[in-house]
Amino acid sequence: MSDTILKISNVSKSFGGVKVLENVTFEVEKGNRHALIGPNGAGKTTLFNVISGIHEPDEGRVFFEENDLTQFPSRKRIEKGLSRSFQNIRLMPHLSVLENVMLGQYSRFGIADLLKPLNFSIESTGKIEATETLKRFRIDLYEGRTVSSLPYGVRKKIEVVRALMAKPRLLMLDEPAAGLNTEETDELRKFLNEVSDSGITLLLVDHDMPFVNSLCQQVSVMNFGQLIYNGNVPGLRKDKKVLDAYLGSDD
Amino acid sequence: MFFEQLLQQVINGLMLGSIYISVAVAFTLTIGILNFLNFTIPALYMLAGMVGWSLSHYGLPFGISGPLNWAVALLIGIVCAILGSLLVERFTYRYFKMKHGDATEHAIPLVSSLGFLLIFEYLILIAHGSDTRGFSTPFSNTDLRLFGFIISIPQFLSLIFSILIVAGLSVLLNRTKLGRALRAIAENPEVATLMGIEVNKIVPIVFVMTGFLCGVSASIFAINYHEVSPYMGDHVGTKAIAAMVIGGLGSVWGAIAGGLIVGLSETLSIYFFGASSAQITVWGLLLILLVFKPTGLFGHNAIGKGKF
Amino acid sequence: MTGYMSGVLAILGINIIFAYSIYITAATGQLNLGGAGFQAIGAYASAILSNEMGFPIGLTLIFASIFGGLISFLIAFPILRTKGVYMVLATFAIAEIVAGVILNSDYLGGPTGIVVNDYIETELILIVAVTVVLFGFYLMSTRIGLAMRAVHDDDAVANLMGVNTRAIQIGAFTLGGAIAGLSGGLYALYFGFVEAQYFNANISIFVLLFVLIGGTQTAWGPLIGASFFTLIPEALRIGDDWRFFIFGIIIVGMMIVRPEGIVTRDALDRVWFKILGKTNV
Repeated sequence: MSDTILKISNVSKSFGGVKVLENVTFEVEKGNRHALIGPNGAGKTTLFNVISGIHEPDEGRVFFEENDLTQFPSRKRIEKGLSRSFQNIRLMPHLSVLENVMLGQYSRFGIADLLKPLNFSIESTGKIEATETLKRFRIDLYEGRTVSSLPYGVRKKIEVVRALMAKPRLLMLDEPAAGLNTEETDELRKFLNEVSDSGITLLLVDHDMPFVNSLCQQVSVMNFGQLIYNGNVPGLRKDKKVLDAYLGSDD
Repeated sequence: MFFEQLLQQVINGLMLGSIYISVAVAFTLTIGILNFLNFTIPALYMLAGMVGWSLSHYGLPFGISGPLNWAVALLIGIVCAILGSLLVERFTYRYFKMKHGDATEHAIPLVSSLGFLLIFEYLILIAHGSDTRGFSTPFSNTDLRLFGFIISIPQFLSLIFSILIVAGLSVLLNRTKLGRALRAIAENPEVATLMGIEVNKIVPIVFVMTGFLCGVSASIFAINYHEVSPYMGDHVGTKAIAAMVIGGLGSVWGAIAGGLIVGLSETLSIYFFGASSAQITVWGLLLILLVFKPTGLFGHNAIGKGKF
Repeated sequence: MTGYMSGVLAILGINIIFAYSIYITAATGQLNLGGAGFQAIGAYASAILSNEMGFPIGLTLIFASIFGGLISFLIAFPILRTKGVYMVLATFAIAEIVAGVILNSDYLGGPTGIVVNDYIETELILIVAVTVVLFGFYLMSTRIGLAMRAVHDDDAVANLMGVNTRAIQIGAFTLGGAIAGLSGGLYALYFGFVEAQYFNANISIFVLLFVLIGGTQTAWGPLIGASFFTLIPEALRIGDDWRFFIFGIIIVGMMIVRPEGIVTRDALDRVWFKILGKTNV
């Protein structure tokens, strides 16, 4: 049995009396590519927000590598090795591509490094590393430009790269393939495989089943705030609850 | 004796507050409906007063004259404030809505309205200099003595008048088709457009109201205190902003309560602590409220939270 | 240097320093419409320190900044609870309260003001101004500057990226207060006289406009904004009333043509491209 990197146990969360998450329990194994799927409004993004600390759960606990993160401030979770992207792209509109990516490194620097001017390419400022990462993922072409004018696919990619720059051990991606064309999706898959090969665990929310199918080893399905399936991808098709959730039950 | 004096101060405070009410309502309307802190409002107030003075001093255009010269002059002053307000609508609010939609920096119209504040203020300073001017009306000594208290009739009437205007406005907002359209725009301009509301035709109405309220308030001030000055807007403007915050941004009735509270705390703190203490009391009260209860007395939660 | 030139340069220097104080807060997305209040704190602090305690000029200015920064730090905690329009109004209220306290205090001279005994030359103001400008550029070029701009754009995401958004905001507000205090100290020592009526709402409005018209995206903004609005009217040699009237027209026009300020990142990139033939990052 492999190690567990993330453990959600009995998490519940409601907003104004509406239960968005109900007693959700699941684990993500280290090194895995794990998908979280489910219809709109199933609570996937809320679960992401609970894991990253934007929301505190009403009940239940979140464990990351044996540490209880439930009460841990959201700002410090990235230092622990947990970073994420957002469903609606949230890059900084007035920062250049390079600067956006460098923001991802922020948590790795101590106060002395924070005070070094970035424009002198000193090794310790991280600028060289950021430039090289952009090159590696073939978006260096845009590095000096502000992000708002860039194509959607490129911006999605920058978000993933920004999250990666924190050197996380668990990378959480909220709908990374949404809105991408086939070519871009293929490229993203290749890219995420590379990321996974470097030892980073992936947890991603997505609607694109072929994409999830071809990338992920493990899948969890949510519906109406509850976890209804947890297992491998082929098993999905045979599960009655999942079929009901997606196709509608007969009664 | 002490209590009688105190009561007299309370009366004076309420009268002073009535001047602030209309301007506070002008502020609260633009921020409530358009999410726009319109800094030109004090200048519109001053514009109405100064145009009114200049016409009654130098004579009306086209050689018109008669016993009601001063009233016609003030009326034209009000019209000027309305026109000025429409100018602000055209070059700050409408322009930026067209070009940037709702999502971009809210600071842009705010900065632009500060620009108009300077334009109007210094235009008047260029034309008339910085002196305070006497404004003469037939009502020179019209104090009413009631149970030993002095109540100035024009002040009393202006308090009633302000409350009537605001009550009318409240009916307008809540009962009429125009009111529904305005509230829809306040809720969400895009959705309002989709619902078939012609936002570009309705929004100027808010600015007409703003100009009208400022003009009326300035006229009341001129009649009551027999003077106008190019700086009259600054004093009233800052107090009206305080009144708006105390009442809660976007709340019309809150602006009335806020205006009266500001007037009261101003006169009472002058009475107890001396002339220059009012500034600390009024703004201290406001600061505490902003920090601990930013919605004020009757405010709405969603207003003014936008990022700059 | 003629007396006139030296006077203009002194005002220019003070305005530039003052503009950077507001810029540093604005760069994190906080609009401070109470600049005059913080400048007044520095001005009165240096008047008292210099007159009553006999501090030398350098020490007076240092303590004026520390005092301005300390008071800003203390009020940053309640002030930063407020957002958007509420913060604009709260900072405005603070400036009014500062003026009110000065007017009511006999120790601070009340409405008559204080004559400052010590005096400084224009050169010192210019040296300090250059230092502050260089510091502004340095700060914005560090990772702290990057974090400040990230907080400006999206504080929630910046927080998840590990940026201590509250510390950044409080730090920027404090630093802004200290620099405003420094500009006030220079004002008091150069003009030899401080009075509460000078530090009024118009001063707060003007300095915020310098910054917003200059542009808050880069450290060039306050330098360009303050210089533009200090030097253009001098160059045109027009009366004060006309000066501010034209100032108003320029503001309305600027907001139509370049709503993000004179200097934006994209504009700067184009300029660099022309000069260097490559993009500067």
